Amino acid sequence: MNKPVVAIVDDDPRVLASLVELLESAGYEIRSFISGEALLASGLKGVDVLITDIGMPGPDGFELRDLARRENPQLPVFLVTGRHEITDRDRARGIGGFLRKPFDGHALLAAVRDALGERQG
Amino acid sequence: MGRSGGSASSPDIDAVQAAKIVERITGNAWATDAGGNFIYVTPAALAFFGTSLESLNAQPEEHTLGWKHVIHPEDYDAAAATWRRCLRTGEHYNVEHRMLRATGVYGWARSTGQPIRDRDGSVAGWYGTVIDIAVPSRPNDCDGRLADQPAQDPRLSMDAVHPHDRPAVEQAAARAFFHGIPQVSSYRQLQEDGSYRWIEFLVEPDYSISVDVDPAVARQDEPWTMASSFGETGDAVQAALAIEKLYGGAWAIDTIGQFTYATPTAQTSIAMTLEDLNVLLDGKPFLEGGRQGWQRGAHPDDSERAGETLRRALKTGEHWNFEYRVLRANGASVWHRAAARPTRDGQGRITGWYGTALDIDVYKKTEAALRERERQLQQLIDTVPALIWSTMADGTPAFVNKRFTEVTGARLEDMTAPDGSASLGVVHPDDRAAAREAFLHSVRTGIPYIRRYRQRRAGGTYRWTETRAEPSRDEAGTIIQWYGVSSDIHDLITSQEALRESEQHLQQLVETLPALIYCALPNGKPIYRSQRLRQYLGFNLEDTDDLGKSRLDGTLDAVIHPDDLASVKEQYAHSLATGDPYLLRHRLRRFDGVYRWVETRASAMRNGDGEIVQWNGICLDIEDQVRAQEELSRAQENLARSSQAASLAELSASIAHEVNQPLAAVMNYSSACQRWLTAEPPNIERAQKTLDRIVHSANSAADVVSRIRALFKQSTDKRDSTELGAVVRQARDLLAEEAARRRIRMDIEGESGLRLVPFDRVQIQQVLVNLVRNGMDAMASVPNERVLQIRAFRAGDMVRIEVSDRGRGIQFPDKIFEPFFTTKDQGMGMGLAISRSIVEAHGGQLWAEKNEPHGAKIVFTLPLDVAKMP
Repeated sequence: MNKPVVAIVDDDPRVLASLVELLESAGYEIRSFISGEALLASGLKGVDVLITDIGMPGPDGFELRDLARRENPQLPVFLVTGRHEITDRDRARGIGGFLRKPFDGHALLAAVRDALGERQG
Repeated sequence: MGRSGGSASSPDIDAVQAAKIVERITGNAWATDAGGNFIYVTPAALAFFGTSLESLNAQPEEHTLGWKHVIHPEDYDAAAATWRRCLRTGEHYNVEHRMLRATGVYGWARSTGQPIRDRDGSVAGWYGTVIDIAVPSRPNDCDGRLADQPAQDPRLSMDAVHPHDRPAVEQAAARAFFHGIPQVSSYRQLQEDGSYRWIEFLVEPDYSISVDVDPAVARQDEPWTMASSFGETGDAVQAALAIEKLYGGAWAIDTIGQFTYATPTAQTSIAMTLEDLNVLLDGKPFLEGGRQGWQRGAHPDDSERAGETLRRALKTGEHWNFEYRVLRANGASVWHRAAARPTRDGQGRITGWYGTALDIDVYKKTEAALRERERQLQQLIDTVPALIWSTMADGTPAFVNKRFTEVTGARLEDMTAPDGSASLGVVHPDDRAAAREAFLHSVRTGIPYIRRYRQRRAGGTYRWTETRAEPSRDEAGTIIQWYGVSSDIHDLITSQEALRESEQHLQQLVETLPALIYCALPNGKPIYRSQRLRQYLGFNLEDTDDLGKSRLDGTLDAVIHPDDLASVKEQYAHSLATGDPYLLRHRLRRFDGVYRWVETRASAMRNGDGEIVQWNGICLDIEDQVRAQEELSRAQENLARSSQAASLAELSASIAHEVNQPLAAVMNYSSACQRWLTAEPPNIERAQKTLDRIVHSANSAADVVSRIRALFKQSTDKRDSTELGAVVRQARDLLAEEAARRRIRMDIEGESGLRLVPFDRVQIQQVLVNLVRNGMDAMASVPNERVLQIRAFRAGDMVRIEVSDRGRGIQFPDKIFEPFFTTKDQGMGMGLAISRSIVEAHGGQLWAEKNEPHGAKIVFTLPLDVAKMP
């Protein structure tokens, strides 16, 4: 059985690297991108879960989520932010979730696993 | 008949014969017996009057004549009385009266008659004729005096008329009255010495005048008639004599045109004897184209055709009718209508001709004048810029003028409905029914018609039109026709409408404007308040009139806030006295007792002479504006108080973000590390690598914290008074090593002795360090000379410090001061934001400019301690 593919987008290379490490440790196949444009250029084909930072130059996390959903409405998308003031949880609805930095890595992994399980089950 | 006084003898014919002779000349005639019973009436005339012989002779009541039913009731009594008198006395009958025609309409007619006598001179019967007349010559005079009057004037002097000529004089007078046409004749007048003298006289319907005839043209010694034998023309002569009695003149000719009889007066008026009349002027028989003597009595222009037409009649037996000018003995030419009819024997062969020539000069002239007037009228009707039409009494369209057709495109037939009634086809369909009803009402009642409606134009459009029609009535008051005129009033109507609309619009505008509007007389007395003002105040103009003060004072006292009343009154008085515009803000009492701030403006409306005719005012409710201003002031105070807090909040959020990034990494790596270790089998290699990264990330978090701490390090020497130059040099020293490593030259220039108001030395130094480092970063990738310049100099009460680089310049000048905006890989975007906060906290400003020739220049100012400056 193929490993589920997780796409990660964060414009901060340090955070991006740490997320790659976390998701790899959980056995997922990772595609990492330093910007939304990079992800869109690569395409969403084969991606099972999308984890994206919200505050980024170019398309931000919300736009990226909407673009991805347009292509695949069932795609679980996890939005990550360091901004405390973002409380617009309505905008984060749908499959996936909303995570505020710093967050517990185990919680993220559990959420990803649930989303994938839900989708497959 | 060799007698010279032919006219004096009685014709040997009966009344019916006489009537038929007359009928052939005038178209209708009648005959009665001596008692007045009709024995003949021209059949066409019976039909015309819708009656019969029996009906005319019937006596419906005693003393009532059968023909009463054809005579207008108002005229009957006089006509009947006259007729009875004529029957009794043998006088000529000559009456004007209205006769009822078969069409149901009365028309004026003149009825004339005269007796025919037998050899004993007693009346054997009557014959006469009826002539239509348009208007009675003397409408009030139909009681029989007419019959007397013609003979009256001549009769007064009848003794002076030669006995031979008396009948002719009477005839001429009668003719004048019969036809209203002046008659010219002549007679021999008895002179005082017992001799007779020829007189030519003119008889008008009302009077007659006599003039002496020039003896040169009057042939006193010529015989009356030269005919030695009537030959076959006996019948013709008899007929001529019958006509002569009615018309005063007649003649008879034989089949080749030779006169066998002519009324003597007719001969004298043209100064011709029968011989003169008959002479062949060019020796050629008349029938063969020769000219005959009588033609000399016709106007040269008419003479030839008179001859030709008579010649043709003689040859063909057709009736001769001809109008020509008769040349009178006195040189005048007078229009006559001549007519001649043949007499025939038992085999139908023509035996002779009889005829007459009636003086129609006045008629001709009148007719010509009438034609001219009619032509002028027609021209007038067709050229006046109005649409003119007429209908019959019953409303049947009879005429539309040229302009009507040009303008509406409708001809008379278009205006006539299939049943003959008025179609009103040019009236707008929406208006037509009402217009027709109104018109028919007028036709029924005779009330003049006036109506406004939309009328179609030839192009298909409609224009408002006012149509008026009046009935035209005859003497009896009976409506003969309706005359109408349609005037285009479209522009008037539309401008009135526009005006009304405009007024209404203006009224609505004033009433609905979200303002309180009022008007006052020049003395200030209020005369109008808009609906909103009435509603606002809760009362109207008259409601303050009973308070024992003027309406203005009553109103002001009631509605102006007591604190504002004095100034309002003063201002009002000033404006009313001077005409200056009025402008004041005051509180105005609302109907519910609440005072609201208003701004009242009023200005004088003046007439053409500059006199004030009215004051117009407007109150604008400025309560909300006043409140809003208060709100604004409060908000500005709040803003000033909270701005500092706001920037700190921004700062803390930014710092949180900057710290969160490495922290998040640390936590991710920690979770990952944990998983590598707890995996089966544990992945020690990956766990170790992950641990290294945790340490790295934790360090960078610590860096952030330390940098922030450095930025905000609380100086122990908070209120330093160090000279600025020292601070700048210190910053340069701090960065000298770094600059050298990055191959950047630092130039410092500045005035000495710049003393600031006490300041936080560490913070200002950090601002400088931050700006210099930014400048160095900006030049990291430029190939040309890397120079960083610091300048400090006095500008008024401030010192101005500039840090310039020669990098690529500022790409986002709007954003660079926002927290976390950065163009650097490793930057946190806080430096400029914090720097600005620090400078501003010291009472200065910080901004960015372009450096010349390229690069960026960050400038900040700090206040100088002017007291300590040299």
